[in-house]
Amino acid sequence: MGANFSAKILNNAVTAIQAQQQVIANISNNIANADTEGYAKRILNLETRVTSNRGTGIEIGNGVVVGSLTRKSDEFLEKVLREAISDKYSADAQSDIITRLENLFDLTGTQNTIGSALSSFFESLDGLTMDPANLELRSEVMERATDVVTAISSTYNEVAQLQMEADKRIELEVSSVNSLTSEIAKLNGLIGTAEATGHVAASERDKREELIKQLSEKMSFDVRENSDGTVDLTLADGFTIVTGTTARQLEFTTTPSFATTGVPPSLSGDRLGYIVYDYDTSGSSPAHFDLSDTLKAGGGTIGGLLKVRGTNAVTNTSAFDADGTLVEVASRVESIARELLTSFNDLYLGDTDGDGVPDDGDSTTAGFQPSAVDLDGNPVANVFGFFGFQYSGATAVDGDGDGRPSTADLNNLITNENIVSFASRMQLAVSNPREIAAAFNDDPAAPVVYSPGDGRNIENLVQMQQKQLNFSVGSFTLNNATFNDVYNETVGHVGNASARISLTQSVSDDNLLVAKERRDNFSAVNLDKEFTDLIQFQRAFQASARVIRTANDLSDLIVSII
Amino acid sequence: MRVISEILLSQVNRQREEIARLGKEISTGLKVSRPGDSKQSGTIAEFRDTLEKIKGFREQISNATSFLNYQESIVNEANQIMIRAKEIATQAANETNDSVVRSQMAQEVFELRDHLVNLANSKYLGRYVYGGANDDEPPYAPNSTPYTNPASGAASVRYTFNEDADPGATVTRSVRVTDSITITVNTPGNQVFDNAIQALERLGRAMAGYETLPASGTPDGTGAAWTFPQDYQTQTKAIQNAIDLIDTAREQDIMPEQVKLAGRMRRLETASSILELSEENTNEILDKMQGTDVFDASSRLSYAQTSLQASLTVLSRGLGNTILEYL
Repeated sequence: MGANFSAKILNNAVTAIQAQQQVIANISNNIANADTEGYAKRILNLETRVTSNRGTGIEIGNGVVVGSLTRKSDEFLEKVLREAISDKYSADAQSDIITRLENLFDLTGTQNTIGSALSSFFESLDGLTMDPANLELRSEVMERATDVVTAISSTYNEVAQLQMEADKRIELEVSSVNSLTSEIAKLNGLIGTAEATGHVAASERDKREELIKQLSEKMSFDVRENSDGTVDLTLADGFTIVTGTTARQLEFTTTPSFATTGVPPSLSGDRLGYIVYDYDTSGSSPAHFDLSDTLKAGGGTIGGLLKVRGTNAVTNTSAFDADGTLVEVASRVESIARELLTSFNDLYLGDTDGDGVPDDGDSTTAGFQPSAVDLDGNPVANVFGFFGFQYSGATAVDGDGDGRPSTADLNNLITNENIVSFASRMQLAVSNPREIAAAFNDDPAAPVVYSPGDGRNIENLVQMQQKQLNFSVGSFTLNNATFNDVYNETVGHVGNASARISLTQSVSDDNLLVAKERRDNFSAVNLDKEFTDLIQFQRAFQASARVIRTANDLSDLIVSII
Repeated sequence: MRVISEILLSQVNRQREEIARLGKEISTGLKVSRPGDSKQSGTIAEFRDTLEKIKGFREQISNATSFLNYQESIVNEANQIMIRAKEIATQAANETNDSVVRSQMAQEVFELRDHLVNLANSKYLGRYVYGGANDDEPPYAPNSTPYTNPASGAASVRYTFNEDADPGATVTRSVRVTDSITITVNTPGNQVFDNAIQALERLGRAMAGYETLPASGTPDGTGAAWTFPQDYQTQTKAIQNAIDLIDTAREQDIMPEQVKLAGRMRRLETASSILELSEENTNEILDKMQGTDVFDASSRLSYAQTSLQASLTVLSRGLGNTILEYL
């Protein structure tokens, strides 16, 4: 009986030592991973050892075993963290582009902006009214007009370039989304197989959680864990990107199957990509499902970039029909360019009676004849006589043939020549200072008598600075405004967009820290706690060792009695 | 533990950003240099535009003022010429002078006329001031049809304005000096000098012994030579008529032009003071909206620096604190 007890004591002590060693080993693993990103703390649950060899009499117990391993992870906290990550990455991606957009609207007065160029241009026109024949002043007008053209076209082109850059980045992000979802699907497989045997595949789960977090940097999605340990990832519209071991590969395409007549152009005249999934796996004729708008509504880098870049319905035809901050700003710049091309050029043709409508200078010749003349007595040669644009198509620039520039003429070119924007093409139509039509032809019927010091046309034109015009491109409309009003409104618009995103950014930064803190408080390794546990189990281990020694002493005593 | 360090690090980063931002604010003198720096960026851009416009208008005012000053001195001198001409005419009208003396005195009258024509043909920055829009040609030139009598000499030269009838010659120029004020900066020469030159020509010719036809209005080049002593009375009457014409030219053309010029200059001064006031106000508002309050920014900077030091200290100490040290 005594030997039996000794064996029991020894046995119990040995199970304890084994269990405690495992616990200490687990603690060592926890400590080792204290700084591993995504690592969730493991807890070994000790259980009373149960044996089938149940003797008769009083049950003393059979020691201890490690019953199970718990990975400390909370689905809700992980979800909050994922959402915070998505928000932050979305805000960062937007802020990155908006900050660069802001640089085009300098407020320090050191850069040539559209606003300052317009003011200087009208100033130079004012200067020319003093001495209209002065070639130096005429050159000055040309220089300042060139500044206007350069400021408008370079601002527009920069905005268009930012849009294409965002587009390119989205494409790269989509490809990393695909590799992440593939990895997650693979890990789903491993976890499913491993956990079928009842074990927790803790390391695989750590890895998967980390990848899911990386995926939430790119986009927003929901995670649902299945009973077999695999997870499904679903977008807000219910589209599943990962189901079990299958990952649906997204595509980034400028020729989606649902755009039967092609997609509308981007600001630069290229094509914006659509994020789609191809349901036709055979690949012969794609059946694309558009996910762009769903992803845009969500967060992550892709959501943020799509919000700034904008999306455009395939049924639209203009780049300005898209949404997004960049398009909003580009529409304003384009509207300034179009009003200069139409209203300014129209008045430039010559309005001798000051009724705001150009006069037919020579009513005896068929068609409208401008009444304004240059320093050599020549009338304005082109409908778009002062501000022009690069163009070499077959369609006539004066589509309606009325001899005057108009929005209808521009629209005609947009329709027939696939012109995306005039801002990007703007250039000066006047090629030398003498060509500036400052004068009026007072007697067109008689041989041309011109007066070099006549500045009446310029005197009319300077009024354009104060003239209330109606600006409208895409979804942007501003009526009864001057050129500078539109520019100033644009500055305000960019400022608001920037302030809004800065605020979102700092809020999302804070939210992310809070979410991380909450998640880590629950899941991460707390060294203080681990050290305390270490001491506790070290002590327990010493006690168990002492028990073995006690059992040994007892056996010795019994042996010595015999 | 990781989170604590991240929170502290993010604080440190924010403080660093704040220090960099304040440093930039102080060094540029602007607290708003990009649209996102203020909710009033649109208004700031508008004020900047206003300042730019004011700058341009002030330059216009300064140019217009020098141009009008120049015209004022021309018209003043024209006035002096007419006064001198009247003196000579009055003297000549006195019947103690016979036709020979009158003819000698006529030389000075023609000199005065030529001087007046020179004034009417004055150039400013290479352009004829009184040429209207046709300012590359002298407004007054000897007419291709001179006086028939005499056939040569100063008395035969008939100066006329814009002989080739260029419509541009009567076009005036207007210059914008504020958003709402536009000022005419030139006067076509005929409005100032036509009557004066004709009066001097009639006077000179009368003193030299020639009639000038028609009796009133613009001379057409006709007019016979008088015979003395028979026509002496006629000559005296013609000289007296010329005195009236000189007075009329002064009173109706030259002096009103002086008044007009003074009026324009006053309007320029008014515009200038309005602009000055507006510039001051705009600058003041802009400074409030966009300028850095250096005192405030400096104290915020030193506060931010202190906070950064504190955070760094907490960071280094906080990270070192684990139970390990006490075991």
